Amino acid sequence: MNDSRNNEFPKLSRKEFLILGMLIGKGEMFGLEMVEASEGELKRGTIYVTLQRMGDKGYIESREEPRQMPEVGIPRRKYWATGLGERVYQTNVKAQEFFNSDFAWGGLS
Amino acid sequence: MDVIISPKLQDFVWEIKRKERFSIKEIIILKSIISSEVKWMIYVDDIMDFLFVIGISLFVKNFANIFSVEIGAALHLFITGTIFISHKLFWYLNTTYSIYKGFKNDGIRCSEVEAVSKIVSIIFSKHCASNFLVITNFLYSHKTQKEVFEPLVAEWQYEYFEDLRNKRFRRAKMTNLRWTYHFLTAMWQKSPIGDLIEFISKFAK
Repeated sequence: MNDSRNNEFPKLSRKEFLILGMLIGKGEMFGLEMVEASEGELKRGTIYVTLQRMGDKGYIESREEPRQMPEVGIPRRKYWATGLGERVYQTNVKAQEFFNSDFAWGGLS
Repeated sequence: MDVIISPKLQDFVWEIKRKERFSIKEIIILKSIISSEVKWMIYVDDIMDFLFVIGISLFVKNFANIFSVEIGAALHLFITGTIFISHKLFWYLNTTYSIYKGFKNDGIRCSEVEAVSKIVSIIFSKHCASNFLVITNFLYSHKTQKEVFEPLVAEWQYEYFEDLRNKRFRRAKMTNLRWTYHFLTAMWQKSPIGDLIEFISKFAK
């Protein structure tokens, strides 16, 4: 390939896969919502580090959501998947499906 | 009224209840802030210190009698007593001032306190994790602060406020404890050692 795309296969860690799956399925979400939806797979202390790394890779984007009165404090951050994130997720889903298929295990031979 | 979250107090939450919490010292100082009549005050919170103050006052009162009996002992007692009192006085003044200054620095103003002055006791807590954020602001980059620690604290505060709003005060304490642990975990993960461990584990894979 002669274009600017990165030829390396975009592997997702389990947490990244889970987060992207939730964001694609449910739309915009807060970090805490993801933790609760993951039923124990994601932890409060680690999710924000993971989200930051995913943001650096361009898989997700975020914005600050202003608090509603009478709440005060630091605004919460809402996350959503980018187009790249969705493509990477779909690629990983397909890769996983292929890996689990008979073809990958020599079913056609 | 059980809980007030005052938008005026930017970084603060006021939990107001009829009973418990808030140390006596803090309540007295808060009341002194409320009441403009009090110009100054010193707090003695130790019973032994209180007894010592009574003893000294008796000594001063009967100074002439004691002095006439044994001049050397009286002089010694007088000098050591003066030094001790000066030290204690300085300590109490300093403590009082630091608490008062803390209130002021935290943005509590007389007018805001006045609004709740008729309530028996005031429970007030600093916005959770604000001290943690000061530390991380110093230790980590602005980007990390914005993207990792501030969202974490925002969710922490959200969960904490939810507990307060639903009058689950005990659970709110637990929430604070739990999030403290998570905050420290995030700090560890973002530390150079955490990065190194991650690099090694990736390399090993």
